[in-house]
Amino acid sequence: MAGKEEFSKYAVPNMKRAYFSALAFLGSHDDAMEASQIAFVKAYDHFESFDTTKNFFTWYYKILKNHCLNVIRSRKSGRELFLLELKENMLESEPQQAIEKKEEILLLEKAMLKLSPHERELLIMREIEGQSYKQISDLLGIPQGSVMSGLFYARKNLAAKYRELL
Amino acid sequence: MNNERLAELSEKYISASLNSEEAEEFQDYLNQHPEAKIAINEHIKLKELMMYSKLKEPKVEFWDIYKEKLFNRIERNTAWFLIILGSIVVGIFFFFNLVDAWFSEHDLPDLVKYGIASLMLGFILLIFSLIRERIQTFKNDKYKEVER
Repeated sequence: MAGKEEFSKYAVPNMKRAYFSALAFLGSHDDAMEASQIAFVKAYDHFESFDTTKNFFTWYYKILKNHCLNVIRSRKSGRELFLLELKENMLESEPQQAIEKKEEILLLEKAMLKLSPHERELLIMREIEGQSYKQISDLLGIPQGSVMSGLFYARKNLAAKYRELL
Repeated sequence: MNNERLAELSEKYISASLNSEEAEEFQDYLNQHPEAKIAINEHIKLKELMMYSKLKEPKVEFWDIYKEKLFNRIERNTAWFLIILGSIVVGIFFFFNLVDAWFSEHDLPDLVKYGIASLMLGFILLIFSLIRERIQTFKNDKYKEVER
């Protein structure tokens, strides 16, 4: 088994990103914490197979995604999920607009949670985390063209879900 | 324009990265398809809304707890691994001792012999069933292509 010190060098800088990636899939603070930690434990158990010349998060993300998909599959429906909030620095000087935006974000959140995990994953990486097509393609191990078409259909689906909620 | 091209140009349009040729091609498409223009405007509106939002952040103290909990988990996981490994070794030792005693003990009542045989058979059956279940789960796991 790998040394805890050695593993922590890779794990600690990626903790936040791991938590938020799990949150994007699961939409629940507790589940995101649990899932990202279980994925870290799994990563620790298989740390010998990690090629240290490669990006740790790309390797870890596959373990995390697989675990999150298993959680989603085994999850009972009817749970209240939360995902998004208004950025603090936005619209501080315009409280009325901030209230309106908060309401719109609430609808957006509901629509996002109705998407498939893959669609949500793509939209969050691109629009919330601001990753480039290349970064998303590297992380997911799919061609850039697939990232673009995946995003196109995710936006289409999101717009339809959002419209249903209006 | 095929779907793949439409997806690519739409994405580039939304992220304002079309070159002049692509911009012209896409503008022509939008002029010919007013419903696509409505859809793309909807996509832009949602993109702008996403710019105002972020993933819900936990409290600052959360990260210290997170780190502590993570390394406790790893420690506990190692402890469980050692306990299970030790239990298997000790279990195998006692199992073989039991089998040995069963065969060498001629005075053992028949009822106890049958009981031990049933216990061993049950144990073997349980292991067989668990292995079969794992194989079936793997065969039906639609995410098995995701590298673990």
